[in-house]
Amino acid sequence: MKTQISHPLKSITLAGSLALASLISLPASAEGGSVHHSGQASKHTVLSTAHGVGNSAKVASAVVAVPIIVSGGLSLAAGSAATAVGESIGDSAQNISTHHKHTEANQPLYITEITVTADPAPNQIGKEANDRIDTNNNSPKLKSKITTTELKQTTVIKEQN
Amino acid sequence: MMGVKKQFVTIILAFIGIAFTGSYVQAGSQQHTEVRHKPEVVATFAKNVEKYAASKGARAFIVARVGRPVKDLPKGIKFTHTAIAVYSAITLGSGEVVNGYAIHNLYQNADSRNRSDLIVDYPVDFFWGAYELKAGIVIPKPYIQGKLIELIKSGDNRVLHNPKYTVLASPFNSMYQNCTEHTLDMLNAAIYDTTNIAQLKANTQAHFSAQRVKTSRFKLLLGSALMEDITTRDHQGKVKTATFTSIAHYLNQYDLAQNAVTLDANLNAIDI
Repeated sequence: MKTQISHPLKSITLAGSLALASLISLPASAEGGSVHHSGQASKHTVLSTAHGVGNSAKVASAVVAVPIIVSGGLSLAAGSAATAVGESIGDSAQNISTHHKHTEANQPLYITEITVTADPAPNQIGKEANDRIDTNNNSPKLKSKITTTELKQTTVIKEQN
Repeated sequence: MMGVKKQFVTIILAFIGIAFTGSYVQAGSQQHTEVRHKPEVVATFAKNVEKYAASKGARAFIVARVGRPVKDLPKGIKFTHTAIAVYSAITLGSGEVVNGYAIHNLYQNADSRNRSDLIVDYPVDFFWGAYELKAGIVIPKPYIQGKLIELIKSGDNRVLHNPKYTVLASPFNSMYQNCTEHTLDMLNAAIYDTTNIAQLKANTQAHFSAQRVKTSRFKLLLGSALMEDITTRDHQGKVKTATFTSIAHYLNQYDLAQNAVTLDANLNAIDI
């Protein structure tokens, strides 16, 4: 029986290949910045579907988020601001439609019931729309409708601050 | 026979490398794409985290998630990604403006794993790929929250960003930066009211206790050799890095936290 002699270079290559192979198979290796963007459009779809089936809450893409300035600065005592809100955690009755860009330090902090999600990167928007076109290639009417809807949903200006 | 032995040893080394890199790669600051829980469950949990923070009057707070099983992480490390959430007016695609938290992250770049980007996302995005629905929450004292908001609103948080990424970045110098170090830098910028990086690092060396990464030097060496996002070149002596827990202890130690808890899916808030 012939035994193959291992060359150091071959050993390094083998180790590297195995490690690389492991990276490819690891979920996290596919979870980074660019993949994050490509997954966002799918996430929005999944969330919309999930909400549509069992929940009346809405899903919406964010265009921009601006930190809310507190009038008079923040010097409130711990936990004093939103006791009423805190007591109703998990209560879906907090669907507040009003918003505030400036608030007093001691005002309750309202949280929208809308599930807000970040949109995909600009270069992924066209890809997502194209994928849908391909999926519906045998249905020209549907194709046109989805494309329009998709473009409406995904025309955004990504926050750059 | 020697060749067979060498190959065997090589394979063992490779598997150690796999085990090592697997732990650390997934411990990095990456945005998840695959949801591990039902989407509506993640959405509800994310909303509950927001409501909890709002109930405590948090305008800005430190938030952390568990991206993989804790048993796979180095001993003592409980969270895998940390960022700062800021109470914001969020304009939706429809033009409607709603209130909620926007999360300011440093995320590892997937294409260039030794680089990072600053990305704003939202609680459901943040927890989307969480392995366990558990949030780390530290709410700093109100005046620090105010400074954090000023820092982010002015864009000065970008001054603190070092795009050179390594999973095990030392918080005591500015050679590399990971998500938690960036969070710590923002926090210290708020505390000391400066974005002078040299000053911030001097203060970190003087007052911050980083968390020791308990793993063998051999594994670290192997990881450094195999992974572009792992290096220990910025460390002297034992490898220590900033973690969510060490930041919580830092704020507690100097009485700068108004609230520090872990919040689970059943809304159990356990003090840190």
